[in-house]
Amino acid sequence: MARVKIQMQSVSVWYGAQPALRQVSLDVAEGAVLALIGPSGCGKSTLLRVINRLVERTPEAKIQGRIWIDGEDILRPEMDLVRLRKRVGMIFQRPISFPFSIFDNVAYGPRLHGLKDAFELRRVVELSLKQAALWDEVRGKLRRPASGLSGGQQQRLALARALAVNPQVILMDEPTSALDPGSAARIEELVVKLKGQYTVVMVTHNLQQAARVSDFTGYLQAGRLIELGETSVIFTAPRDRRTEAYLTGQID
Amino acid sequence: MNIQEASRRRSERVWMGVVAVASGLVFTVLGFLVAVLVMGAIGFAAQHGLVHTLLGARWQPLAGRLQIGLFIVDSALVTALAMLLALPFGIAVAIFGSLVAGAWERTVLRWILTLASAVPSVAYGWWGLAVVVPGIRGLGLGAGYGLVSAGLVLALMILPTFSVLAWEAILAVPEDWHQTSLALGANDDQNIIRLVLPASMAGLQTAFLTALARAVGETMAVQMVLGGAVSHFYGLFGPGATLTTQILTDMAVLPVGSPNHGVLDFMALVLFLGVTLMTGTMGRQVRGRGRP
Amino acid sequence: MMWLLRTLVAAGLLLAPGSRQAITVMGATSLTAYARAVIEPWARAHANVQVALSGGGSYAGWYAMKAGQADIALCDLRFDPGTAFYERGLGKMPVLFIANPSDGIRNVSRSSLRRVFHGQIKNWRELGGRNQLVRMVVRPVGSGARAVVAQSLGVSADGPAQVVQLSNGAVVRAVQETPGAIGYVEGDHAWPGVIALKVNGQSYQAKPGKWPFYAWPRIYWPVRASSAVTSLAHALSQSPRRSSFGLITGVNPP
Ligand SMILES: Nc1ncnc2c1ncn2[C@@H]1O[C@H](COP(=O)(O)OP(=O)(O)OP(=O)(O)O)[C@@H](O)[C@H]1O
Ligand SMILES: [Mg+2]
Repeated sequence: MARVKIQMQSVSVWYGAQPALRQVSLDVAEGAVLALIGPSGCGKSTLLRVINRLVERTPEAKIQGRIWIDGEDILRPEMDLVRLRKRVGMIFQRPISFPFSIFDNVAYGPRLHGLKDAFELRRVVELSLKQAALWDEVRGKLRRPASGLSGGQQQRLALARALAVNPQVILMDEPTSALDPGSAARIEELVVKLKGQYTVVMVTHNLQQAARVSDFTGYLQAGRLIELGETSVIFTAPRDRRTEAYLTGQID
Repeated sequence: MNIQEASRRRSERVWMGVVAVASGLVFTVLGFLVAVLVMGAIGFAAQHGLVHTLLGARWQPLAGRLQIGLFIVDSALVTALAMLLALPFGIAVAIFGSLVAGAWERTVLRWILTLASAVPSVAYGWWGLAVVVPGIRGLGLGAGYGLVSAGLVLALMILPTFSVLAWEAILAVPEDWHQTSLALGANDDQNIIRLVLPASMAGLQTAFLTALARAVGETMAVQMVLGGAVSHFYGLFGPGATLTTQILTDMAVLPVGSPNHGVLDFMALVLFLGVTLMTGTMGRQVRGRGRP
Repeated sequence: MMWLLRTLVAAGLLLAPGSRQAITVMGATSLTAYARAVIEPWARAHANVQVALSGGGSYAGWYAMKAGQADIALCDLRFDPGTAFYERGLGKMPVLFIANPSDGIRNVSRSSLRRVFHGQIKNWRELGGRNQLVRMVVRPVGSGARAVVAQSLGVSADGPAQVVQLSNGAVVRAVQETPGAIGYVEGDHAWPGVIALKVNGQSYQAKPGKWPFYAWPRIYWPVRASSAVTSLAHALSQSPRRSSFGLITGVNPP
């Protein structure tokens, strides 16, 4: 039985008076891939963003409940956000590259955390690009602007950038929905490869994708976690009628 | 329907005509203006010598000694001082306004900056006379009229314009870049220094150049506190004269039609070319390095 | 640019009711207030003439008149009228030296004054005043007051000026506020906050007749002028209102 990496207990989030997450409790096992599915606006992104506390960027956001990562309560007020976010990386829907060179994009995180040694930086950048399966395409071009890469390459660059700070958890918010099928497939392969080494929480609208890459799937609706279980079970024999309705296309 | 169509076409044609005439007029007038300037400047340079005029520092307009080297130096110094002072404060105001301030503070600050950038430059000159000149004098740094005073007045004058433009440049950094940076563990300071400033560099430089152009061309506010000394370089705290202030001052002795009026055209052209050159080279650097 | 201005002015005149003659008066800013005071009643009596008045300085007025762009030039400097122009003096206007009270100076000899404006005296102590650096406040080249000072003290009009101010008022203000300052102004006005210096023991107020520093404002107009221009020129050169603008009449230029 795997160790619990992330533990959420009764987490609720409001934007002002509007609830976005209601009393969500779940566990994520270390090294597992958890897929979050559900209709638009049901709170999937909010659930991701509460794990690295990026929801707090919205001034009117209010969080209730507890979250532990490796047993550490990360919602407590004195929690060091920098330390939290070093452990929890995030990939967004739109491939985001900073207006710098490929190298500087990947080196951005390590530099934030005080890595200055040029040799070591190069090593980290190369390793991360290899992990993100981008190295072969960009070697020798690291000084070129990142914006010259294709959308799929930029998304892998974003992954390399996140991996470069050596996180343990990776949050992915619809990482392939802005990509062509080929690029999406490569990201999927990567997620499968990262499995075991990293704990991944991934939001997706693509049910096949969830079925292909995830170990566990959670179904959210109107801010509530309706059902969470092994992916094979959720997709073949959901316990809740609402999950079944969503999977068969009756909702959304 | 055909009638409607025809009348629409006709009114369109009338409007096109109006636009064409108006822009034609503007171009004619502008072209004429530049032509007059260039002709006067060329006539003057042909007679007095380009190098002699640019590199010398003897200015006695009634005696026909018309060397503008000192004014070029003073223009450069006053502008550089102003930009050096305005740059850090302007960036600070822009960062505060765009990223730090709450909604209420932001509105007030924006309102103040907009108002301040609409204040006529004479008012900044008055402020200079009332505050800067006595202040510098109070520090025991001379009469108070001088390059530093002019630089200070100019800095304050361009600060609102520069801040607002820099503010816009910083706001143009997309929200998800901020979030990506924060999600990598950047604290707020790192986010500003390592992401926001480099990412908005192109816009910041545009803001800088716009402010610079305004600073170089400013006349009245500078004249009021600069002192107008034309014979020597009296140091940074001593009085001086810039290209613009000297054009203003000696317009009276070199009016259109007087023999040496051309030197004023020449000075205006030097100013124009200087600004163009500066913005051109800096602009190219930005495009080379900035957002690819 | 002139053709455009002319076209615009011409268009304006064509649109104006009736056909009116236009007269342009241009020149020294120090004389525009006086000129306005004369032109207003004159123009009321000559309804078919439109008079425009503008400053720009003696040189600007003189050159504009020579080029046919102005009809009457107001000058506080002397130009050579040759045979094509008439010249008429308006009287004389004193140029007073004013000093900041902190200088500790009330009286200077003419030769000391020359040395001050030559830049040879650096500290008022040298003239028996306080230990205070001398700071000159001057008018730009081309101002009548500066020409008077330059001529009567024998200093070149392009001397080592320290602080140039563009108007009488700006000079007064700078002298009021700057310790060690000395400057000069046109007119007999007693300005607050400054000391009007005696020169060789003479004060202007006590004996204006013995005062040695005067500007001699003049007007110029073309010999071949319309009768309206001639009439206005006469009004300007003879108006009794001169005395209320600091001009002393009944005297002839040297
Ligand atoms: N910054 C915000 N301020 C106010 N309301 C917000 C904010 N972000 C999200 N919401 C609201 O919270 C609810 C949940 O949003 P969330 O983005 O978590 O949904 P989602 O499941 O990710 O949707 P989608 O599938 O469209 O991405 C929605 O109703 C949304 O309108
Ligand atoms: Mg979402």
